[in-house]
Amino acid sequence: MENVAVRIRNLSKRYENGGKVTKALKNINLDIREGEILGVLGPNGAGKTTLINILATLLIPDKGTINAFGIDVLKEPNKFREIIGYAGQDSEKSAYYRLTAFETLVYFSYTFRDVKKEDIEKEIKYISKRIGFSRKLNSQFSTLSGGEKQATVIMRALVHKPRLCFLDEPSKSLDPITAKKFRAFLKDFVRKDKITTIITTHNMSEAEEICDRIVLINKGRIKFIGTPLEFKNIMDYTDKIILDIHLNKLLISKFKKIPSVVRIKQTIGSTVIYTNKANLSLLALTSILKNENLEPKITVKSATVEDAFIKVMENGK
Amino acid sequence: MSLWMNITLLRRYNLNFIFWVIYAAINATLMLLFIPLYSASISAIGTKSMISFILIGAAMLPLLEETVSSVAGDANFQLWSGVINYSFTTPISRYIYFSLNNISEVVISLVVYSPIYLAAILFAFSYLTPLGLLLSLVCFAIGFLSMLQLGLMLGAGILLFRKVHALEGIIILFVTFLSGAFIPLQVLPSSINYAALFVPLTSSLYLVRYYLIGSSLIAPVYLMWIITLSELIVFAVIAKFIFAAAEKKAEKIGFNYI
Repeated sequence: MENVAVRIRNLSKRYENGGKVTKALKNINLDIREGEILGVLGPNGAGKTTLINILATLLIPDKGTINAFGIDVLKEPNKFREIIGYAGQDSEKSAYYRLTAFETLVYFSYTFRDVKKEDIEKEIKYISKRIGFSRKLNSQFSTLSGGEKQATVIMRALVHKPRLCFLDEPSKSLDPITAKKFRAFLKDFVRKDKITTIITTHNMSEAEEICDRIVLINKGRIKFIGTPLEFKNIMDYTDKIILDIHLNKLLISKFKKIPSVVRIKQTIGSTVIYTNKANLSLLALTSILKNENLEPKITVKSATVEDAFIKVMENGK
Repeated sequence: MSLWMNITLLRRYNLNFIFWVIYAAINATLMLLFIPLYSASISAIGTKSMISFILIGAAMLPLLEETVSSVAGDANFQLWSGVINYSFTTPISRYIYFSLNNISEVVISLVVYSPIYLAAILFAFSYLTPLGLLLSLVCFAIGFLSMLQLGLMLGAGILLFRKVHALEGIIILFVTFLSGAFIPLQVLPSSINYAALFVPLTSSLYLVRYYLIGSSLIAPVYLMWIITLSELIVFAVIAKFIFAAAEKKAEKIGFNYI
């Protein structure tokens, strides 16, 4: 059994604003395993950032306990702060903008962390090379694009090699190429150094690609904990077959008789067939379509974490 | 490291540095225009060098005003930018961090104002003793640390209430007119002299002048020392307390909601 890095018990937090009380977290219980990348998913206002901010010692909960690597986080926050890294959502402003990216990283790491300057410089060069950021290191923070600023701030959270790292929507402003490089790097980097990483994200493909486990939060409560595969398994289908035609009732009833077909959904100009065995379904489908002299464009897509997310949210489970 | 950052920025924007030096020189020159006014009260001021007397005030006042306002500026920037969230997730104390940032800025300012200090020492050279120079430096350091506490209070006030800029204006106004840097307190009514002793810069500035150029004090020297040290301790305790309150509030509701 894997070691538990962070043990969260009965965590609750509420905000009061102008007499209005919002319960951001309700009795959260969660074990985070050492060295894993845990994705925290949920719609806007679900409580993701509140959870990450409590874990990063930015907020204190109203109730509950957090134990991380043997440290009682709420009683000894400073001891805990020595082993964490953090990148928040406001990364596009979160630095001294007249310093270069390199100076920013050196300044923050060296001022706030007990690290050797030469180690930090070596690590900055290594990480920036891996995510394709090397040529931007000597640019002033103010002149960087949103994504480059985001990359700088993510690097700031990682360069001192924390035992536990919190990244709040890390790839929010990254372009697709940088995001891909970042994901590959993050996966490799945190695995190599066994950095337990907690990320919040709205990007379902990111969660699927890099997270060992995901936690789905809605209205302050945990709705699901498990691997991305387990999450997808809450769906009653494995694949979607998409046809770019609208079918008549007769054809629909024929398709429904195919054993592996779970259900069929029609929209204007297209038909989506949800199935458990795409190959078998496709064979039967193409045969029926051939008999009807129909040759629609056929696309097959696997069920995604995003599909599972939408299903859970729609069902309010 | 804060000093490294400030030196890096100073070298990057050297035109600003030149303007800063010009500002310091203009400031000192304008203050020297007050010599006729002071000369009328020279017996009350009791200094051995009127020029040194004025130059010390001209150099210390803007420097220590900056001590107050730079913490507030830094707190404002950190709140706006979100740097504060990062710094709160690190083990370094916020009180220490703001203090070090401020001290580094003041060290840079000292470079700018150093020609004025040197001029003040030069004019007082014939009266100067090594012990006098040492004690004046100690008093200067204590005065600076007391003013830093005011700056930290203001910074913590910004963390607590977001906008307290008007208070910054009030503090600087008091320091300007009641520290004796601009107008010698000896020429003002004695009741104002007593009130002035509650301004943290006043007693230390008078002690600096006393040890450098033998200026008269507005209270016995032992009392000036007690006041100087007491103010440092009291202001430091208050500053720490307000900082702790700001941190507690932030942890309860989050900086985004302050």
